[in-house]
Amino acid sequence: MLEPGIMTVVAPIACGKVDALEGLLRDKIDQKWHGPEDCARHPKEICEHPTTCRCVDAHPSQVGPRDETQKAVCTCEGSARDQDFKFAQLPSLHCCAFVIARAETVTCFRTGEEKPLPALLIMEATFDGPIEDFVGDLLTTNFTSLCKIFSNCAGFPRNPFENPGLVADFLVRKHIPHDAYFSGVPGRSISEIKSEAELRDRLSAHLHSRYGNPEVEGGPTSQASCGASDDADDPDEDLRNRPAARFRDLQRELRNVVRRDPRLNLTEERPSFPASVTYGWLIWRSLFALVGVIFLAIGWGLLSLAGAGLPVIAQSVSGLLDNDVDKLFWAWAFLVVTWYWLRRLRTWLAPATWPRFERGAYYLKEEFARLVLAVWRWAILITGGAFAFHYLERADGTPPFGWSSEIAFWAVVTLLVMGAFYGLRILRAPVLRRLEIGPFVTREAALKRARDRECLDHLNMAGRAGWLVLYLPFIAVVETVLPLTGHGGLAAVGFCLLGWLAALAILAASAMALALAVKDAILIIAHGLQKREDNTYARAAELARRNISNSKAQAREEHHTHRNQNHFASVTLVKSGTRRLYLRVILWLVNFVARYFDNKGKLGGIPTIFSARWLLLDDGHRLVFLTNYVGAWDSYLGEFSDLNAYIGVNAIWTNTYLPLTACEQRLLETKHDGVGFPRSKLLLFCGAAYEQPFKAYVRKSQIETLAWYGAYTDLSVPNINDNTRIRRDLFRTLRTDELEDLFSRI
Amino acid sequence: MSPDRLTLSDDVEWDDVQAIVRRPFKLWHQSAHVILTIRDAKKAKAWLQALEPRIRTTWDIYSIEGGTALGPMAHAKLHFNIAFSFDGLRALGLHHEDLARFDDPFREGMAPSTKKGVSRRAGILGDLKCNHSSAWIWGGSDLTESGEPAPTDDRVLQPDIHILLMIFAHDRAEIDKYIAGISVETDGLEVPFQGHDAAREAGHRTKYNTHEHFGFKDGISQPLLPGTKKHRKLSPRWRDFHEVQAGEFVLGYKNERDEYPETPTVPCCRDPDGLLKPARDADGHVTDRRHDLGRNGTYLVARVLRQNVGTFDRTVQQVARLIATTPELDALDRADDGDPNDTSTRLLTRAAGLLMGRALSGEPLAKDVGPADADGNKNDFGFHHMDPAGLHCPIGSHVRRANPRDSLEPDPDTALRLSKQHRILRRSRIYGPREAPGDFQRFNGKGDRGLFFICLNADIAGQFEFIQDSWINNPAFGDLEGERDAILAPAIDTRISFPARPFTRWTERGTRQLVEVRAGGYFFLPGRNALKFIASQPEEHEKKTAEAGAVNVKDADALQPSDSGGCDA
Repeated sequence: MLEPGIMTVVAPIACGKVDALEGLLRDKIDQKWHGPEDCARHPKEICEHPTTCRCVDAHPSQVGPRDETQKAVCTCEGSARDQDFKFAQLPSLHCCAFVIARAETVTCFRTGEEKPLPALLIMEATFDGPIEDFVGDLLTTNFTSLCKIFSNCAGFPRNPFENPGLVADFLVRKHIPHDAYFSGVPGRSISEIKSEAELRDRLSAHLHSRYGNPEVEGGPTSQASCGASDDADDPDEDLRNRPAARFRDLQRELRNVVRRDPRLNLTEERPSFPASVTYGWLIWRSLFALVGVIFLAIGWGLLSLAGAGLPVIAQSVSGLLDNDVDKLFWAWAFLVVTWYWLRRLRTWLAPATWPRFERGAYYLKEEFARLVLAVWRWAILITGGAFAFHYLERADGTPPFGWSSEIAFWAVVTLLVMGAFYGLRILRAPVLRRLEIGPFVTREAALKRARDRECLDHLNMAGRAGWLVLYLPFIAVVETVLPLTGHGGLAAVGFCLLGWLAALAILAASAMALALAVKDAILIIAHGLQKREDNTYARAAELARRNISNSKAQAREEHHTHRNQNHFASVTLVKSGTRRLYLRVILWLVNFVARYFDNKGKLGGIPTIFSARWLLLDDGHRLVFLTNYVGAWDSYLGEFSDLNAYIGVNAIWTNTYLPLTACEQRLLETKHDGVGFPRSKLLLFCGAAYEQPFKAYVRKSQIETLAWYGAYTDLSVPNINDNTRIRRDLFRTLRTDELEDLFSRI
Repeated sequence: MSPDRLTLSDDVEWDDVQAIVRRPFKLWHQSAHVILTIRDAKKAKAWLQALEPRIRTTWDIYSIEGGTALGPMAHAKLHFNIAFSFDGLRALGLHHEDLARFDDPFREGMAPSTKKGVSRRAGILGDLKCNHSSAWIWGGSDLTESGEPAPTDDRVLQPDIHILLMIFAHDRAEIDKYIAGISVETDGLEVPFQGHDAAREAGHRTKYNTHEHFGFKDGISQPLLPGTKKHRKLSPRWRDFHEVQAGEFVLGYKNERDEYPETPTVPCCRDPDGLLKPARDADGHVTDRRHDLGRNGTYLVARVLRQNVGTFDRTVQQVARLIATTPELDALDRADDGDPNDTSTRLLTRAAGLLMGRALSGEPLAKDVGPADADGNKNDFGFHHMDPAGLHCPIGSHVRRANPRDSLEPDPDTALRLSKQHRILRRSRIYGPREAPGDFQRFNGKGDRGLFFICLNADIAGQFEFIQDSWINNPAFGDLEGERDAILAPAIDTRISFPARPFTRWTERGTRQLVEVRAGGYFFLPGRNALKFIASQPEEHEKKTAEAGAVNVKDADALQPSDSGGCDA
């Protein structure tokens, strides 16, 4: 169980040293592409068209016999480039980057007071083991380079060579704990990652050389034998070669390959994960349980308030074994339980999403399941009401009306209440539309955007759950009022019915109105805040239109020659006032989610993040985001914009803005001295979903990654997690389908 | 100002959009692509104004094809479409502030020269090794892959690609005559490069699809624009897969994200005649303060792709040997590739199909394929439900990489929604002599032949470059490890893998390169009104633009300051 070592050194740069430091990092420290490790992997590049491909060092003597055409062999270019910082000598280092956040000035919008923010050198490193060990390694391998870099910073010891301990002190003192951190490969040590990749290569090579390697088996001649063996296939042979047995043999064979190979440096057969990954689900389950208990307590309290809590429950428990009442109760309980299990079953059986095509494999099953569940839900509501009604009637000594009439009565009541609810919703729609909250709140307008439709579904689900919770105390209240009205004969019952209906209507209307009023008040206030904010900052949409790009910061991608990994760094200023506090809370939540929930290689559905860290610097005035990601910038940012992660992105970056220079203000034709994040609704929705403005904002916030090192740049997150799974599964007893899954990964 | 000027139609104005966006010019089986360099902007603008009536819009071609065309258009022997590179627009004297509003990749160009080794775009597009732009016949960079200046004798025309003129005709002599008539003296234009496309196959005059040099039927899977006549006849699922909003291909309309793509605009004072329609502001409201230069135009990506038929055949032979030893790979449930008795031919066609992801006939390899359309093309299928592991259509095969449909993360519906944001309209034609397809023994196939690849998109970075970078050249595409596209990969030593039961088989591809990039560029294909606007630029802009752009215009770092009016970011 290995917790990743994370270090972020943030040191203010001494006056006037920024440019020198930048040049040093860019030219001397950065690991250039085509590094030595690259040459080891692909020693030769062979081109078929020497006339069109100018290979710098062509060695005709090295022409291999593999291909009959003329070709030239290029040696790797630029491999001789000797960089000052020997990242590769740090055996525990996963990735490391240096960036510089420039000096800025923030203005408090209330007092107008200006606060200067210093230029900062930020070094991020992810490694195995504790920080002290890493710093020790760093000092022994790269002491001179470290001194060269950090001597540009304020507070660095004057005579580092005489007292190396001071340098270690300096680094540890300047380490700032992250506010949020996510790792796509949590708990995998560097040796595990490398040897697991080696394991996969080894297995793949074994399978390739043993089964189906045309070069070995002699190509076309084997066609005849292949055909012959096809003919010889008899059913008995087929039985003997049942996949299960064959697969198990294959698994055994592969295990032996691994065990016989001393080069595979896997000390344990099973991979281990940090506790946060293995037991993270416990936290979530307990959280859900807590919420359930709170709801129960509220229900209990409401029942008690109505003066009927204890008696109702006590009586119902004692009456369980009583004659026909219990039948209704058991029916109700049965419905509730089956509804729960049907729901769970549906999520197990169904594919990841609703199938949209009528010809989709699961379409009919899905539709059927949905229908059954809807009917079930209504049955629960109605039977539940009827049960309570029936029981209380009996407890009071009055004769029951018979189940059918009770069920009908509660069906009517439920419909009325629902009708009131939806009626109110429809009535307030035009009001909200006039307030310009319309596109978000009213359903029909929101349906226009697919993404907002998803949000709305979540809200609806929440609303429905809330409605069910409201419904229970409501039943209790009605049922308690019932005995007080007095009764005698059918006429009295009819009178009571009318009375109840009136009481119901009043109760329902007031409860709903209250809930809606609270919800709308929140919306309107948030909308007002949003409006004010929109008027404080220039719009990111204008950035996109004016094509103000940040080409310096793209330097990292200019080296992007189809490795899997890239680095991205962004610095934004945090809006003043309560937003700094709010951002801290949000980052704490993000960290919590990333640590205990989204810790299986994806954050908010994004599978391409290697590591991401958020830092609040300068007393929360500056937000720094540093990430190692897989693939291209455009698709990475596209995922932030298109997948559900955009809600998290909005929650964080709506609290930020970017400063504008006077020249940029002129170009954008704006008087505001900052540009805000793309417009969001309620700080959660829209925003990052507007792709072009979002990308323009991010581009503008991007700072140049001056030096970067990754220990395994040609692996992606899914690759590493797949390799881990191969290692885990190879030494487990598996079902046939699991075995097939294992082989398909190799 | 009439109020109706401020209402913009959300239906595409096809009478303003150049025809190549919608029509593949299937009636005209001779065509040529001419690169022009502007030497005298004044004469070039006069030439443009003279040419403008002969530029065909979609509507024109509809009427010609339908036989309802009137006047000179009905008897015209030559039909034109025209697109401009960034340098071309600059040379024609567009105001430098207007130039700054064009898309970033378009302004940088396909092969920007940088001082820092491998250029970013070369990495994104896979223009590495033998593909590198320093060896291109036109449009290339003046730096080699390692970042040194290229030898001067190879710097053919590098900075001077201004106009891409596409000519369509029945008769090749007419085209030759027209090109021969272009001169520096009269038109201010030089013709540094002209490429004739191979004539369409006999008997294919009315069908769009042709066979390319490797032997595959080409151009089957195209996005459908809403309102197409063809698309009303197709099944709902087909529409789900291929119906893409017009804004992905034509500027000024809503795209798949339900947003208007970013479009270049000019202030109203520079368009006094009102040639252009008003533009939308950041809120989507139409205002007359700025006019929309991009409306009904789009970005055009051109690439000359040489096909090495001999290398392809050798790869096919190698894959066929793999299949021969691996019965799991041999046609799970298909026997329609060639003659079942002729084992070697069947294996070869199967191997070719596995590389491409479709059979030679264009038949999909995927399962659960719906009915064919009127042209006999089958395109109604996804990968996620019936072929998630690539047992039928390998994950690394070309068509699956170029359009993964619903097969990527996180779930099929989202994957399809996202993949539709990256579709392109392909309008390629082939060049070079045809060889008899199908025997896979063309090892000595010398000669320059290949594809003149043209695609249209409203956002180069989000569509063409995205496909190249995140799908075609992505080593981690669909959980693969370290592979490239089976057809388009640059000369980097990788594997080609073929998922099979119980485990994936693979073969070394060596550093073979089946397809080589020989030239390329980004162009802007204006709408007809925008073309009139470009052709009528006043002369005073030329001077100012020349001054503003005097600082090494090709340099990516210098580009921003010079174009944004001296703003040092």
